[in-house]
Order: sequence, then structure tokens, then C-alpha cells
Amino acid sequence: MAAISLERHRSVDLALALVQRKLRTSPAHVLTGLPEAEIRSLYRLVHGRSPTSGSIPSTGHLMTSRRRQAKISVFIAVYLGLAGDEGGRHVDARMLIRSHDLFQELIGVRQAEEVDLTAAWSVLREYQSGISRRPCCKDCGACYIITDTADVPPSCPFCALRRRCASPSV
Amino acid sequence: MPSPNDITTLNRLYLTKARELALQGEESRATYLLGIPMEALSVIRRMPLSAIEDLAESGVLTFGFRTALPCLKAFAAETQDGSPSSAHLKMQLLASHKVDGVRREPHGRHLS
Repeated sequence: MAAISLERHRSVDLALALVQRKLRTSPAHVLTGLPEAEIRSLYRLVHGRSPTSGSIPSTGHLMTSRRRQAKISVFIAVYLGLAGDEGGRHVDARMLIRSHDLFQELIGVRQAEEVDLTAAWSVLREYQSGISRRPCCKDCGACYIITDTADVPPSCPFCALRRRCASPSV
Repeated sequence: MPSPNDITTLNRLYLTKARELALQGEESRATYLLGIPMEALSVIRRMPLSAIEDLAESGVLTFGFRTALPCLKAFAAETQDGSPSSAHLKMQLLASHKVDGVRREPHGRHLS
């Protein structure tokens, strides 16, 4: 009984950490195992409003520009860097929090806004399931995320951004 | 040629930061940010500061250069005229870091 209670406290503690970072209900439910109603209630307590509803954006929907593709690629690099070999296999909730916090530190909170914790969870899950891939650029050495359903071409966003900056028309 | 004092200072900063992160339970952060292997970190975590100091004074750097060469070249090319590096160039550096010299895709597929 005590073990069950302790496990539940851990789940609520984890849910609180996720909800404070505005993770939406369904991923918080997947990561903690707590009922969605309880997570929604927790969200209202923390933020004073209900969590955003609707479908979770896919990697393809999120990668609407080269800049976003670059940011998503950086987030995945940070997660894999922190999680090591396990990072490619399953989403660890604590590692998701740590890597997203570090991602914000490294590129700046404002720059990181386009890849919030919900987006980070979504792109990570799709990468792990093979929906998106992560080749490395032969020219610049960076690894980047590509997916068939994105608006951006399946090539290196960093080189594309560099070329765009170097172009006299910009 | 760097003086022995320079090497010692660099080592001391590196090793004490690694130890500090390990003691805070931030091993994964230390591995990613400092490039220190987990096994080495667990040893450094248990070392007293006097031993850290002795290691720092070994005369050679205790850590290595991590930036991928293609990324370094791109960085150098863009900043050669003295212009500040752009945000995407910094992101490119972050996206090219290797940890423990290995990069993997899901299900154990190695990347070249």
C-alpha cells in the first residue's frame, strides 16, 4: 500500500513538473499514467485556466520553415546528447524536462518558444518511431530532422539558412 | 606554447565543473556539455578536491576538442571578416555535437 502511495506521489510530482512547463494533457497522461481529468485539474490549479485542447501537432506540421526545422533539430540533438543510447528508443519524462530546459538555456527562451514542451515531446516520439529521420550533413556536420510530411525540403536547414544569409538579395 | 599554469587552470575549471555537476545529480548535462564520458564522471565525482588539483597539474589537457571539423570550417568561413556569428550558426554547432564519439538513430542504427 505504501509503495503504491509513493509511486502515486512520484507520478503527481512528475505531472506537476510537466504541467508547470505547459505540457498538454494527452502527453502528460502518456508520460505519467495519471488520468487525463486529474492532469487537467492540476493544470487549472497551476495556470488558472484550462489546458489547450485539440490534436497534438506532428513534426510535419511543426516544420513550417527552415528556422523551425533547425530548432527542432537542435532540441533532438540535446535530448539525444543527454539521454545517450536510450534516447533513441523511448521518451523519458525526466529527460524530456531536462533536455527542454537545457535547450531553452542554450538557444534562449524566446528563440525556443516555437518548440514548446508539447512540440518537443511530439517530435521526439515521431523520431523514435521512425516517422522522422536524422541524417547528418556532409557539408557542415550538423544532424537535422527530416520528415516526408513537412513543407521544408529534406535537406540541411543550417546550410540553407547560411546560404540565405549569404545571398545578396536578403 | 601555453604555460603549465594555463593548462592547470583549464584543467581545474573543467574538472571542478564536471565534479560539481556530478554531485548535483546532473551527470547527463555534464556528459553533453563537457563531453566527459559517464564512466570518467563517476570516478571524478568520488575524487577529493586535492586529487582534482593533482590531476589538473598533470601538465596536459584532460579534455579534447569536440567541434566537428565541417562545422568549424563553416563557422570560420562565416565569421572570417569579423562579423558576429548568427543564431543559426550557433544552432548548427549544437546540432553537430557528438557524445562519447557515437551518434545513433533509433533502434541502434549508427550514423556516419
